[in-house]
Amino acid sequence: MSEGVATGPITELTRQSRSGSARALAGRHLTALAFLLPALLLFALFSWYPIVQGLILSFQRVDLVRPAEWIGLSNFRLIFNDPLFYQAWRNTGQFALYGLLFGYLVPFILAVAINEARHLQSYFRLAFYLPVVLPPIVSVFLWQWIYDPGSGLANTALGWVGIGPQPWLQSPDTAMLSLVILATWSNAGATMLIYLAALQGIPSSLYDAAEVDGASLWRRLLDITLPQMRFVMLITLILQIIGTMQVFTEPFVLTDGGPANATLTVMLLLYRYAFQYGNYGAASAIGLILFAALVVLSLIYLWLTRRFAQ
Amino acid sequence: MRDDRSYPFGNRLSASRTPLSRRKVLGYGAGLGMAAAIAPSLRPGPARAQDAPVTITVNNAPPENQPEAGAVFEQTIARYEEAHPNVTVEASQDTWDPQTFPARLAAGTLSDAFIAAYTEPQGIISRGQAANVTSYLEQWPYFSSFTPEALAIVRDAAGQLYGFTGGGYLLGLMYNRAHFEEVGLNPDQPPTTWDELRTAAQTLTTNGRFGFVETSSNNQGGWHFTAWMYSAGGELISEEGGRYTAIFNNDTGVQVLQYLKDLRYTDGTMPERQLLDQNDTRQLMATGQVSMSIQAADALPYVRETFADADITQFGLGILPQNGGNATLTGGSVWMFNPNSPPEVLAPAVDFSLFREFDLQNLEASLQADQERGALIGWPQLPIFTGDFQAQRQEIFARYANAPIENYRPFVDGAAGLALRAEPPIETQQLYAAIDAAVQAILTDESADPRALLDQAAQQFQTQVLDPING
Amino acid sequence: MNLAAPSTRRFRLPRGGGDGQSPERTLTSPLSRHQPGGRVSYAILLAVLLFATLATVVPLLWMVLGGLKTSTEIFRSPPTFLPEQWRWNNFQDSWDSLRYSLYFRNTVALAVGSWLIQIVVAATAAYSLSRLQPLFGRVILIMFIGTLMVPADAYLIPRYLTVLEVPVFGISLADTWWAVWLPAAVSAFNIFLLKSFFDQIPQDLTDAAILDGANAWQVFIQIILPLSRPVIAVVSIFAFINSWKDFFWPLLVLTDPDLQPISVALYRLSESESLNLIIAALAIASLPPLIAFLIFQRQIIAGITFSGLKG
Repeated sequence: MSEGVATGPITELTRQSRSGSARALAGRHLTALAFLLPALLLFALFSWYPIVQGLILSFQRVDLVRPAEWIGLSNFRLIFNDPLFYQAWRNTGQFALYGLLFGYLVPFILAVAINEARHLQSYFRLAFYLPVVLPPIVSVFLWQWIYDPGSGLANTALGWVGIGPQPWLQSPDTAMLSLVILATWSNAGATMLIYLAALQGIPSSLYDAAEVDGASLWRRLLDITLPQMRFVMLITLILQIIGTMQVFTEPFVLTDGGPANATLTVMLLLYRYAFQYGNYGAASAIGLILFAALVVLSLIYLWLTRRFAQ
Repeated sequence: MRDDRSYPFGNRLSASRTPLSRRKVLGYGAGLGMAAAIAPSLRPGPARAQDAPVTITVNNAPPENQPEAGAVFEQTIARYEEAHPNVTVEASQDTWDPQTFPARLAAGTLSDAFIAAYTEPQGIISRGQAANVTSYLEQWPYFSSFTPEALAIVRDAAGQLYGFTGGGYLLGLMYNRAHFEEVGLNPDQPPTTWDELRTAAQTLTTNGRFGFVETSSNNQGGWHFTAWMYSAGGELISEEGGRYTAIFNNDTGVQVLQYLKDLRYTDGTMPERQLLDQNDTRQLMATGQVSMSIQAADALPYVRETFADADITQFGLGILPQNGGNATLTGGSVWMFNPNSPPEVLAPAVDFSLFREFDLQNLEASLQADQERGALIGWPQLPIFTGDFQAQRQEIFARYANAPIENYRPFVDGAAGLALRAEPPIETQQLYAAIDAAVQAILTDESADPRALLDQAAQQFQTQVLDPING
Repeated sequence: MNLAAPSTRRFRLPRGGGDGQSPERTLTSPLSRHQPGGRVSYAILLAVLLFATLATVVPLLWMVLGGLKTSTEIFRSPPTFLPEQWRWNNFQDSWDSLRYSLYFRNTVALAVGSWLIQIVVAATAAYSLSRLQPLFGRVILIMFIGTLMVPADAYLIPRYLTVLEVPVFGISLADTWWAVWLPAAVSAFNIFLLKSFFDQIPQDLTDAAILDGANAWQVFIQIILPLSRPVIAVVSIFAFINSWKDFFWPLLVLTDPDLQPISVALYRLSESESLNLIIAALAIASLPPLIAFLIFQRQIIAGITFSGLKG
């Protein structure tokens, strides 16, 4: 029955109850609600309520010892007076920027190259994706050792190609970059797979037509591949920025924000305020600012999705 | 390791990442005493059903990677439970960690009895986060044997007690005697001044090894910086009329950082790998990559437990090298109690904590087991008792000692001539955290300016921490 | 009726072994690849790619080899590649001394619990939204989806405080596995994914059951869920892998060592353990997700491709 209406909102239960009484209607709503209840409850407790609560906490003194107390803008004054607050944003921005450079380009190049490969393709996919599966704590500890200036693999490998040893995590100048390399290593495989899927969706007729017109490989890449990938690349771009704004585990475990606060990120600062200084209000204020920044990015993302969907 | 035995003081702390770890040291004690090898146990508080079953939770059990030490501690628990059939002890490997301790304290997820570093009790007491256990402690027969310092740290302004010291330490210089001999230095005369240390580090930096290494993360850069300040007669915080001012950006502070910078960059006697904490520097010592580092004496049992390959007899202890201050930093670990625990739990929790640390019979049995399993016994500890009780403890330790005590003579003898200075009194871990950043910069950035770094750290600590306290 | 039909149609798994197939052209045409110049370029491409895979394969190999060295050899500078003495018992020592069996059980318990609750919560909600027309269904859907806009870390503090004292219920979940299980179930992404899938299940399948007198629950259990196996498999695999990878949140809410998963335990123990044993422990901890990945490769890749974002 009802061939072709599957996408319509009319469901079997609606139809059933249409002829039913008000009681049946109430029963239908109750059933619908019953199925929704677990999700509603958990979202309310662990998402909606905390989001609202975060706003409130930002204007309170919260140390979990004394009762919470309204203190107006004091939390914001405290963090805006903290030189580390600005440094944390600069560092996070730097991480995001480096992250784009590596985390964006590397998977793209890999995907394009692998898409051309007619042999070993599944090995390539597998090999580049492997690090994504590792627990972050494993990658992080592994790279801590790899970055060891003396006994680490990184400087040894550089030595093979005649480059001198680098300080990696041991210098304020290179520590952040080192974290980005680690993050790229751990995550590039996932982005690569997304790109690969997008590449495989590009109709080959486009390439054929271009080739007939005498377009070089380079031109075909610029004129066909890139425009066709534009949408998915934009999406991953925003998602990646959102992801990098929350970077925590790598600096927390590897450098604890050092050396000399060079890798202190916003999340790490938030963590310190809350869990080391016991100032949950100020930490919430930092969270609120981060929250606002992320909402803006998400809105851009939504707007882009919509625009390109048309 | 933890608990009582060989390192009678809260040792495990030491095994953890914490500065706390820094706390255990010299052993001699003194004490009072009363007879009794059989320490009578605490008579639990106000009258209550003596035999109602009760379960208490305690932390600082030896970490899982030290199963033999864990087994010895299990026996301590078994002995206690046998003597107190109504009590069940649940021990957790959880220990004090400056990174998470405030959160756990606030969240109320700490055990009934929990260990903390000397930097914590005054803050905990002022925030009402620990139980008043004065009445329980005073019933303990050896209560009056505690040194005044061991109780002062857990006493509030009204004289009430919120815990007791489990162990104390003072900082000194750990060094590899084999390396000394190898380069022609006298292992019985370790460096005792900044200049001597610097020269020795230069001589020892050879054969792919480094002469010296220093901590700079997990608040331990600030912790050791404080010790260096004391060794040069410097102050970190000044107090006037209840208002605190950060003054560690003074000339002495600059001198300390410049000294570290010289070792790291001018002389190249420190490794390139930095951002280390005490567990890292101990590992560098244990694996022979570095010849000297600042440690508390509990580094010795730590190395013995953690690095099966290391030869413990290679290591010697000297005093913290001096530059006119004639002092070193001292601290310790304290046992405190959850304010939410009901009295019927609190009484056995206090009782058990005293038992695990100080009960003489248990100490002897544990030391015996430790000796059999090859643990290190007899390394120097800071006495926290006086009189007969201390003498009895000493005597028991001496009976089972297997450590190369001669190796520690420069430390024990030298410390006698030093003032022992406590850690700065207010928000100490945050102070250390602020200084960590400066020490890290000095050790990782050749062009870093000591004064600018300290000014920045002092300003940050002042505006973010002290000013809100000053009000 | 063919129950498998809708699912396979909708949820196409990508070709698993792409080797040597796919005659369709990409940037380069099959023709150009067979010209002499093309052959050489193609060979270079393969060589470069093979070389590039060293970047992921060598560190993993390095990890396994490091786990076999002694506590001093692992610090050798310059490092040795192959261990001088192969300390196979490092893995055993590491397993024993780090109480690995306990942490493994904990990790599995956390993963299974998170998985189960996630599936139940997401599937029931998606079913309701897709088929049962709840009151304000659209608003609710938007409120679910809205949470995707802001990652949970941005409201970490209030979420943590909620766990310490759950409103209304007034209990603390700290140091219980519920503290991990329940927040993990708050995944609008799962609801969205399942709902879009349920939307595609033809009406007539469920209508027939309803005519036979099945109620909403029976339709859900007997028709919707069996038809949704592929998408549920994808959600399940990600739930498992993400749970295995989780670090920050369990670190905060599981402070009792006896309850911690491997990642948190490793972090805690790394402080006081010899590096060679830690490295061996890392290798052990990598195994389960790697094995899961190798077995479920196709589903995982399909899931990523389908969702376009999860990793």
